[in-house]
Amino acid sequence: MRQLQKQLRQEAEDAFADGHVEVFIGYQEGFERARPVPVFVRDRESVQEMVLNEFSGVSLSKYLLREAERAQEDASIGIVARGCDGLGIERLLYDQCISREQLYIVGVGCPGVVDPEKAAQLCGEIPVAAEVEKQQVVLQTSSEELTVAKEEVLRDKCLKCDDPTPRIYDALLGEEIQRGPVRQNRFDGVEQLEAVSDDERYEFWVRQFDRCLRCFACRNVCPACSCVTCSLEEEEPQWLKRSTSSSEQFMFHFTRAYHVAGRCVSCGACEEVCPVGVPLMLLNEKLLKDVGELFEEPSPHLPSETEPLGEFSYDDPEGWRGEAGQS
Amino acid sequence: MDPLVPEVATIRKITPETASADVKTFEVQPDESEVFSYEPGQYAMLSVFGVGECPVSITSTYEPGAPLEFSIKEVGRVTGALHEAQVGHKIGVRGPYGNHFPVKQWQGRRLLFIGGGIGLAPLRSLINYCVRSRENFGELQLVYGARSPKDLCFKEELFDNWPEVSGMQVHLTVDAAGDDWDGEVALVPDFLEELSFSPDDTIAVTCGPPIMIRFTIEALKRMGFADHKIVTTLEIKMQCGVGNCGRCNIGDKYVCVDGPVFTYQELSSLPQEY
Amino acid sequence: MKMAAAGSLLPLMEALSESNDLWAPIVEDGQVVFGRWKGESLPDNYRVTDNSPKELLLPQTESLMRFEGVYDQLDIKEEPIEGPKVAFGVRPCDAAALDLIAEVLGSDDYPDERFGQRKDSTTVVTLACDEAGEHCFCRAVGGSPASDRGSDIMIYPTDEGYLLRAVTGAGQDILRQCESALDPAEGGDVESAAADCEDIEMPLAEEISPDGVTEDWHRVFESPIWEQLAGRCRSCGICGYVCPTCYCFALFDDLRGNSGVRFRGWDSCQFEDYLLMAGDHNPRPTETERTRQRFMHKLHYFVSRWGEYGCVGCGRCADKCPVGIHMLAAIKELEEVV
Repeated sequence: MRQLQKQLRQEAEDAFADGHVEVFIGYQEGFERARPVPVFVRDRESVQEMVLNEFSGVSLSKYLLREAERAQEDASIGIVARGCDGLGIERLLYDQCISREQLYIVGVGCPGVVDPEKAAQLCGEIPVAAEVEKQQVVLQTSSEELTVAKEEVLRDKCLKCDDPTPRIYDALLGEEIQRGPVRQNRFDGVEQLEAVSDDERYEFWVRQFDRCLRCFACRNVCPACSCVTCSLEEEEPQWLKRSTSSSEQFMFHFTRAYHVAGRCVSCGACEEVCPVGVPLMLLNEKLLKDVGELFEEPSPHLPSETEPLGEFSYDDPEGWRGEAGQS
Repeated sequence: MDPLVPEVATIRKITPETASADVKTFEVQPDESEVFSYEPGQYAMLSVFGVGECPVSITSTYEPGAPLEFSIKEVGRVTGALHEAQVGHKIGVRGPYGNHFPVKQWQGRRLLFIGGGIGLAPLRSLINYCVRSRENFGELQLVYGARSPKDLCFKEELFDNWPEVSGMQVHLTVDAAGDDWDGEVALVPDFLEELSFSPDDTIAVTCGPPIMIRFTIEALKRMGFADHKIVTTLEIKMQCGVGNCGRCNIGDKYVCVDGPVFTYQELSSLPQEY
Repeated sequence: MKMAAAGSLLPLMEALSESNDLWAPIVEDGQVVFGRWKGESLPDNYRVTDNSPKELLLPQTESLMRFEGVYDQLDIKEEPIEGPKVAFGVRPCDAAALDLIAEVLGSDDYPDERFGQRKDSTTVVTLACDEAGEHCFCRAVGGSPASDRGSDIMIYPTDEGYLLRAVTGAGQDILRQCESALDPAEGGDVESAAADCEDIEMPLAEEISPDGVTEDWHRVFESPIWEQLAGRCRSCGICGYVCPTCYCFALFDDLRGNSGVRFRGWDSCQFEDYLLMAGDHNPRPTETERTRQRFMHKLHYFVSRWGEYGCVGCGRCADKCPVGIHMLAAIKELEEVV
């Protein structure tokens, strides 16, 4: 990764030197160890603040929405993108929130991002550094070096990743990686939950949603949530009451999940930011699984021109405004 | 009783103030108790049940037994619902809240009121207070403007009552007018400067749209008014009215309890977040 | 009164739960949350719960009153308040935070009755900290891992077990209730147990203190750091909602047919619509003003009104902010520019 960081800074510097990039979205060191934070580099000199390492994995794609709004018309926006952010960017492109010409994407073939909390459990402190190797991860603490299996220390979402390399980029750092570091069945969790009784499943979700604080972080980071005015904020009609009774919590979570059904790119940002551990990806994955099965889509999370729920046809067997296919 | 729970009150009378009726004055009487006593410049929280609450300055002047009056412009959800209400309908009232114009301190002084549009509502409470205890104050001057003659509020007082008060002068202006208006056509701050009042022993009290207040303050300063002799009342989003919900702070001041009345001197030391 | 419960707090919790509505840190789907006790021991090695115990006194949303009729024949009923509770295993920072909120909501002019009644009827049993968490910094803002502020009973962990001390009369009453679950504290020294907690290492608090940056608020207000910090802010409500001292709330009506409820519920100054007024005027229109408001409130405005910081150093905002907008990071950067 050290090598990739160097390349990234070079790419960003060149982009600024070229003069067409107004801002470059990446990472810088955070206040706490192993917690890099997003940075918006606005000049060539500040490029050296950018980092790219085993911990820098906060989702960045949604920032494009705001930056595109604020950017000069002909200026472009640079962004570093791991595979998950690559899909997030594609989502914004397919939803016509931004245009491809506006973007300068520096892709990263991503070997997976280390979860600092998991690492701390393993080595008793937040590690100083980490190196993700082919089969394992080497964690560097203040006093020792620890080699652990990827399953033990990568972020949950990285363990299921099918798309470590962005599909679109202007420059690529490192090699293209075809599949995620550890291949777990994306729908394991959904299948387990499908197997229990309705009552048990209902109780499970009541418990999850009751923890929800309605902080809206899940919505705010989601690259598929790009509505100018979110329906959940509308006052007339007020679809979502502000009470946090169970029924309103269901209303919130179902609305969120259904509004991204068939559009969720499975980047996992929503679940990652949730402060109380609501398993939002379980909901998203259930919908992805159903979309995949019902419409025979092998990869329903990949944005495309012909998304099952994004395309309408007058020949639809289910009918169109009650006119056709009623029989 | 929780301070956030309002009293039920009945609308006794509704008077459209402007030709388009986008401003109406509501006479309101609490059902279970006497009208609370209040000072000019204070406000109350009005509820339309099922819609919500909003702060509204009290435009009447306290008199035992008299109903509360609120002049309300339709701008949002709650004020919209209030405009739909009819005589006899029930609304919620709680208050009075906030500080008030320091009328006791102003005794013997000359007062210059500068209002724009619905901004005359809180000033009306103050003006009528001064009119009622006329002997306690020096000369009273009112400079008031609206977008057009049709948008002038409190016409009876503007044209009939106040001009008759001894030692009080009313100066009206509109932003634009047709043939039916032979008065001044000018923006309030410009008209104010044209009239040019002496700052000697005078307190200037202004209320209106934010942009008008800004230019009025500039005009007053050019006329020689000191910062502490320029007084205004602020509007900001408030929800509890009692300093608890945290919303309406400007720096370390809460408009709901430390305001809404501030001198320009006080405002100058606060962040420009209003 | 001081007693040691032999190595485990479980018997004490069981005894307390017999005649009290007991709330404590519990594990739910792998998350440590403050919730209604379900019979388990306290979670191992927890520092602070995901949610703060403030929600016992200031629920996320609550109904203030119910009404029948909208414009006609209106009938209002105030919502009754639920019964007394015991909050167990509260951390000293969170207990102190309840006192901070009480400064505002309990102030003389318009005391918030619902908060006040709940505060009076909630017994706070605080577990002093024998280790600081990764994000803890209570000492930097005037707190202490052994502080008994806001507590009715203090529990100090020692090598032998736990020492208990009643701080208030209410605490004493509760302790008497469950005497059978406790042992006499022979030879136990509460002072030294408290001192041990007082002295734990807290790396974050050693380095940084807000004291130096709170003198001249105008300069702090004008600092360029707000724009830098806010650049990455997501305008979500995490920081305010997990914060044990944030008390801002909103009022809203829910109408079904002709009957309705007026609720109050948490609100956050980080939300775009927090100060958005009818007519679309917003005095704090971007993340920059909103982020600044949050820090200024904790570090200046609260100090100016109530004489202390509006932050107890629990570290939740630092831990939970998805983009690392950290109270101490802000202070450190302010130190550099102010």
